[in-house]
Amino acid sequence: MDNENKQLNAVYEKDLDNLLRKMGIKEDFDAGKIKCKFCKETISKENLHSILPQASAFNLICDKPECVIALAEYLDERKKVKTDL
Amino acid sequence: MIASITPLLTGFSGGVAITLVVVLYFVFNPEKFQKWSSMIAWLVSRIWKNAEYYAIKNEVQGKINGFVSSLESSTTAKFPRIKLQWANQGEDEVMVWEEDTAILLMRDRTHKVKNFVHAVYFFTSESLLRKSKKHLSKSQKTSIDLFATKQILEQTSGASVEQFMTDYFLPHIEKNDSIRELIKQYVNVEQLGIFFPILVQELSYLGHKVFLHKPSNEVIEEVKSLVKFLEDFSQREVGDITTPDTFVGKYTRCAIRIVASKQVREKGDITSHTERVSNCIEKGYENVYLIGVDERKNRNFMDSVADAVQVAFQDVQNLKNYKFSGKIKMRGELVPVKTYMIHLHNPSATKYIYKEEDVSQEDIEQNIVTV
Repeated sequence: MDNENKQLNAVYEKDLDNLLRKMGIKEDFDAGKIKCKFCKETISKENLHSILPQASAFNLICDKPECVIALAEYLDERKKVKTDL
Repeated sequence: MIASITPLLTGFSGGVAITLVVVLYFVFNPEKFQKWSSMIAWLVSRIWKNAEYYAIKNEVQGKINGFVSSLESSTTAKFPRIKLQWANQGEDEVMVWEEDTAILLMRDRTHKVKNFVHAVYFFTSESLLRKSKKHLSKSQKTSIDLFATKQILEQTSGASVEQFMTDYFLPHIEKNDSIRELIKQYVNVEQLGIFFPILVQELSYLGHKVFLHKPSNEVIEEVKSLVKFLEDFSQREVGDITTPDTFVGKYTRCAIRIVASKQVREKGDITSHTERVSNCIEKGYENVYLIGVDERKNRNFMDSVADAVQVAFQDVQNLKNYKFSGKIKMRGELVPVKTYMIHLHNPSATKYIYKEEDVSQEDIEQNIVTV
């Protein structure tokens, strides 16, 4: 059954700046130009929940519960699309 | 296991024997090791900051994997363990981005509760019943994630439950009527103690079925009916024989058989119970759950019924025996009970691939199945 290990990728907050730099979005992040993928609210270090790398960009998600749930639903849909391909 | 090894260690000196027992305990309970080492690492992190990585990682892994272990004792399904992987722990680390794989932000010790709530919700939504959820509606998926996360937090981290309920659970059920209704049903099902041992178990079986004709709405409706069936069964009054104890869906077929009649048990005659369970096997039910009071005499009686069914049907497997606490309704009052349950699985009735024509055949069979 579903008995494989599930990897949970995480970044510790003190490594965040460096990670954003590697992603090439540090300046935009500091300037408040990065919005939540789902609610479009400005993302800061205080409200960041997660980062979602995608083909065309890095999407950031805020920690509002509705956005966290929206992320779970979105990832689920993406998996379905990949399975169907 | 450890108890059986302990006498062998008596030949060692006290200190060595204790150390060996502790080592063996952690070898057999890795999630406990993760929890303890996390606590020590949090202390060390006060003087050595890098210990925080170890503390967070082991706390999250230890608590979630501890719950997965206890969950596996409540179902026959196997669930994935979580492994937290730090991204960019070393400044010079070359990053390879995996598309559509989220990277969660983990904060310092002052945000332990937030870290844990985020990790648990992410784990349940991404991993728990992953295969089954592809057949479910959005409300069904989200409601199971919310309810299962609440259960995990209640068992592993009391401090996190309040934050989860305030931030996630309540706002969501206030906004979404269908999620609220489903959660209400799960609460009723869990009242008897069968949310994980039967509902999650059946959904897990469903996840291993392949539908060549993509019957999304049919499966969604069937899961709704299954939940309703389990809710009605959980809410039945003791002695009520009008509430159905069998569920016949197109893709899921299970029966619950109560084995608790004192008069029959004291006579020691297993014939009628054996016949009722055998009848379910003959009719093609995949899973039959024998349920009764967790008292020694009743357990022995139920075991004898299960053994007799297995003698009659060589294929039938006794997959697991459970003991759990729940509440049953007696003259309108909820009474706490300790329950014993035996899960009999009938592999010859299990079907993995469904074609369109199979469904119409199932429809016909459904109409003639009466137990």
